[in-house]
Amino acid sequence: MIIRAFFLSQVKAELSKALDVIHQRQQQLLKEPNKEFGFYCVVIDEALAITAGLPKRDRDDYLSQLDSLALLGRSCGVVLAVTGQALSASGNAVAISTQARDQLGLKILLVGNANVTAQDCRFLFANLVDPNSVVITRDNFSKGLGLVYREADGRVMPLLAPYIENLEG
Amino acid sequence: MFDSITSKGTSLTNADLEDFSESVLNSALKVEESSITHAFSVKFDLKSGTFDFIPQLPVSFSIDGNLAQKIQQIMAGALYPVLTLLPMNGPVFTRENSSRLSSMRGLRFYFKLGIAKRLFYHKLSDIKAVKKGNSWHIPLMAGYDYVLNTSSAPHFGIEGKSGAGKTVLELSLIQGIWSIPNSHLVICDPKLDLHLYQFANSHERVNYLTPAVNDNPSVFFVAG
Repeated sequence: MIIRAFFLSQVKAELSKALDVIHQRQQQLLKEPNKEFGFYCVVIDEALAITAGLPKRDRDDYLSQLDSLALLGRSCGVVLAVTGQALSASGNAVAISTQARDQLGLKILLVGNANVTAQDCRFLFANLVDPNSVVITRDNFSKGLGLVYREADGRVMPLLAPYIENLEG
Repeated sequence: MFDSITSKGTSLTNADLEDFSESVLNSALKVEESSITHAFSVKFDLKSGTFDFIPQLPVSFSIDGNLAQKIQQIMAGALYPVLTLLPMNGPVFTRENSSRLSSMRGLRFYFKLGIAKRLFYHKLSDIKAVKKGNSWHIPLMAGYDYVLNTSSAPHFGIEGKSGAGKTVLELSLIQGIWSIPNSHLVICDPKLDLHLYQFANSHERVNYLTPAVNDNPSVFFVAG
């Protein structure tokens, strides 16, 4: 899939806007260290589709914006959310850089109805020694099964994602 | 977390689980083709969610990552569905409460009580972040939240093949963040997902970006 030029420039503009928010908030935090901000969340859906087919210079440009957002945003309520078929960080298909990926405080791998394999874990859960020994609980619904990692407790555990009857409501 | 553990109405105790685990490991754990019967003990701590494998040295095997992995494999299945054994990143050694050189060390394993339980919602808008102290909690599973606070906003990443439920999970987290007062969302969606589009259209404070139909492919893109 080749991403379209106008879309990419829009995405980059939104990312710089988010970076501006970070800088403003950092200034404010100097004056009021305890200030609480509302969350400003940038969601990148299907991240691989954005970088696919981009000239290297444009891709690096975009990825470094994500890096800044991931590294600086954490202290002032700016949240980066990335989803994709594979959150790879090297080779031809790059969804996100390794540095930015390491900043993800909540990592989720969904595996459909199959078991978790080492192949599935290679991007988000590369440190996991033995993915085969994870017992994924099943119920009568086969979607939203997988693994979740939370920075707060540093633990990986089986996940059953919430079931929502009506997505439009 | 999850459920409380009970067997026929009475709670399981540390001792129950220790007996059970020792007998399971006695039968199943084989190192270099020989079983290692009674060369170890198991100590459970339900309160802190850990159990230790304590070898009684000297033993005919090395106490290392390999051994920990074998124990993990055996116990993950054996303890289901009473406990969820958490996957490990490597062996964890602990110092045991023993003054004898032969049993001073143990391999530690971590677990949660019960098994993961899915949350059910009638409508997407039923998902709401809850404020606890300085943090906002967005529920992911029964007893397991995605925790956000303004001093450290953890970014999140979701990976999965199509059909695995990525979009629904993404929507529930987005809805959770959106439900926090004064939050603002920017959604960059290169594939024009119907549900994300609808979400953006029916909510304020959401910026939605998607490629336009007559936009030129990026081959001719000039960085700007």
